[in-house]
Amino acid sequence: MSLGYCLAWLLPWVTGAGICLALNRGRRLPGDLAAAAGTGFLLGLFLAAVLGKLLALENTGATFARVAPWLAGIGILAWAAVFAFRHPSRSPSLLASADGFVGRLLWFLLLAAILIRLDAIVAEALLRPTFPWDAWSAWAVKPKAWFLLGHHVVYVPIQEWLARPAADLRTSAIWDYPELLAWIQIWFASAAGGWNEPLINAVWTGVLGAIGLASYGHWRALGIRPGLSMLLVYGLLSLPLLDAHAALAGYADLWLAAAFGMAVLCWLRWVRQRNPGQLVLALLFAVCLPLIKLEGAVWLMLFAAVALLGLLSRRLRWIVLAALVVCIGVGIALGGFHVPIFGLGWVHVSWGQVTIPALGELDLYWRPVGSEMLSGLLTLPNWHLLWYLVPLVVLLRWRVFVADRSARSLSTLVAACVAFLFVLFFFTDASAWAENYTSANRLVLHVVPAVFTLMALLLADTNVVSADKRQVPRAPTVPA
Amino acid sequence: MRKSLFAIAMLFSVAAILAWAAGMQWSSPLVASQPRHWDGSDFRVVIGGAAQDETRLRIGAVGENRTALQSIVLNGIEAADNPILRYHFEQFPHTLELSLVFRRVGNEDVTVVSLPWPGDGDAWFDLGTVPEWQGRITELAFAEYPTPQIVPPMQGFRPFTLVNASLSSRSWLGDLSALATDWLGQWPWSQRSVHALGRDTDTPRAQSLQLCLMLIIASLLLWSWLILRVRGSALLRLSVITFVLGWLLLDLQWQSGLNWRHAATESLYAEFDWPERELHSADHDIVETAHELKSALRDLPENSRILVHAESSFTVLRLVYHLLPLNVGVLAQAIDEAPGQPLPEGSVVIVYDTPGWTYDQQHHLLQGGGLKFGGELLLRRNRLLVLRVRRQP
Repeated sequence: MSLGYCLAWLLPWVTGAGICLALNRGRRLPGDLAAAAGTGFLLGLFLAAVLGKLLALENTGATFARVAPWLAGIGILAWAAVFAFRHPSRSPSLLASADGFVGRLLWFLLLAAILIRLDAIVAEALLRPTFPWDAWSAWAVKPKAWFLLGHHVVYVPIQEWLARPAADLRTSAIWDYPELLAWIQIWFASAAGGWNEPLINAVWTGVLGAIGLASYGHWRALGIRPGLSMLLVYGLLSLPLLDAHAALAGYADLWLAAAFGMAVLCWLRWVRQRNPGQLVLALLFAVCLPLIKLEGAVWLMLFAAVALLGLLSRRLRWIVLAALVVCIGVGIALGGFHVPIFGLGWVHVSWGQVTIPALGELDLYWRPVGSEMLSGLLTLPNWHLLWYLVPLVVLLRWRVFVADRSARSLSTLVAACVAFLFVLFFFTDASAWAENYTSANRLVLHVVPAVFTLMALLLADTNVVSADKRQVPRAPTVPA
Repeated sequence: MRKSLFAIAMLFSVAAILAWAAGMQWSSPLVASQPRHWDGSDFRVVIGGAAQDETRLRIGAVGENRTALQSIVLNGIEAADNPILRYHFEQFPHTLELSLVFRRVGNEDVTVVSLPWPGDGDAWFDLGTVPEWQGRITELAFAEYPTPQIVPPMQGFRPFTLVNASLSSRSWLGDLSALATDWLGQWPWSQRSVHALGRDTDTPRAQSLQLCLMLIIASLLLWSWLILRVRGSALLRLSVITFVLGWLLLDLQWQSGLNWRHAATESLYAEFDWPERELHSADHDIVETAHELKSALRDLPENSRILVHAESSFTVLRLVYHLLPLNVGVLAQAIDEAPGQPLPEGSVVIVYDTPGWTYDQQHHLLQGGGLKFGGELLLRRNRLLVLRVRRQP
């Protein structure tokens, strides 16, 4: 493994973490370092990808060489800001872990189990060529072509490709897929010095680890105890389908789950602590969603809608919601209407039909795929006991919704995502994805880190793991 | 008193759930009487090569299609009376799959049932769940072959031993053993693994381990509430603890599966560095064809359109991927999405592994599947035709 390849991991990580800490403007809560490390890894990679597209279009082989100095410069500025804003008196203990001997022991055991799991996954990813179907037939096509060609070329529909034979164009069935992930793959390929699939694919395990780190850090900063946070991180990273997406790397779903989960975490930090830096991070991750995968546009739309509604007073919120329902009803009654959705284009909504430029016409009517969906969620070994546990936790901890506005907001967002998936699988041709066990669970995967955050909020003041019997501290709010 | 009652209720609940999951019948005996037992050496080799090792059969070579097959001719065993199969292999490679093949009286066709990976001890399977397991069985065989999609045919085989096998009537022990094999048996990665996990097979499976574990947890919580009168935060705490323990059990199984699958991956790739690993993937023939094509088409202008056709979409897309960075598209997609649009002058059409396609030397026509393209033939191999399109050759 070359120095360049190691730097391809470290530079985005350090730079991204610096940006996250700098955006905190000197405020430090327990878990902030872990949050910055996890969130920063993904942010740094997205930044490397954007810089790659800006600086290396004409020489993709030199992506690392061209982007690394910029990334290092941004990192130096970010870390300078971190030290400029630093208030040593506000810094919590670096290695705060669970209270009590048993709590600490369990905390370290869970951490060890997580590290062993990540090691097993990265070992698998580092051995095999790209394996899953869409990984090589879709997601790796553009980056491999651009990298081996040495420069960027435009992908177009096959009709245009055939009609303009003299033009330097390429075609693929996925010509319109977003390209953020492609530039991350090129970043690692150029650092590795060749199209080395295992070295490129290993970053999927990094994303899995980043999900864990960011979740742990942000949950701690939201006031959740170390033991419970670590237990939930273990639960999240042990989910077989998440692990499979890292071990058999190449699909974009893990990235979408990470970006959506981190947008939610940062947004919750802002809702509770009014930390503007976290709002900036939430917006950055949310904007990246449609740049990763087309479905990300839907998650962005739902996220933005819930976040904006959360800014309104209760009365105004109901008025806006009622007005929206009336507008949609009138629009449909008048024969349909167009609505612009970032990442999807102008979507046409009419009675019984939705037309999305990238996906075509979706006829809306009931499809009986309940047993297949339930099988994927409850009986196949995809999710351990997650989908049995979530309803139970919601049922037993419903009082938290009354007291905690952020839990209410998050549950609204999760409910909106579930409602979208319900309509998608039970009312459109996407039901076939449930019948043949293809995309259904992958789309559910996108919201799973956010679901774990909801569980963390709901279980925050239960004392199950820690042996400590003291009063549990309430979630931190706006720092003094 | 309450605790004893709780313990009894739990015992009955767990037993009932296991009995339901295993499809146990209360009328069945604890242990099957008079199972039909065969040593490995009783089997004859149909495909591949093997040698007797006392009572065992040591399979040392594969035959046609990289498959090994060992068979035993039976004197018409009644299927319904003998649904529980026990099989015992040793040193069975992680890279092979195992199937049971059987033939029935009055039916020349054989039925193939995918079996759980055998491991090193006894493995069990309930053939009663297979619709075709009926009538009288005249022949029984084990087939071993490289795991599809994952293992390159040339690499998958390692010698292994068939120790013995048996068929028996339904019994509590047999049903529970088949359930244990189904729940704890290892399965390989497949293309479905990023969508849904578990054995990717049409063979009937036992009830889900997740569902049964959940039923056990639910019964524990129910009896705690009803009998032990656990309420409020204590019930929540008990719920979380039982869920954590159940989760840990499932995760141990998942982690052991990850280790098992990694052992298979290591045996395939660990000895090679990256460029060689691609040549040892399951589609190494497509990789080699792509290398040959890249070499043959190296002088082609960068903008030349290359259209690939093959019998299966997997082959087409893999060939497209391996041909990158050549300017490649899919011929079938061009025909579907741009009907009537002629291929540009100088385009290249690659037809790979597709029966029925021929090149007419006299008329300079490549034709097949109702399509015709005029031009000069650049390359012809056993399963490969490459044409440069010329409107007026």
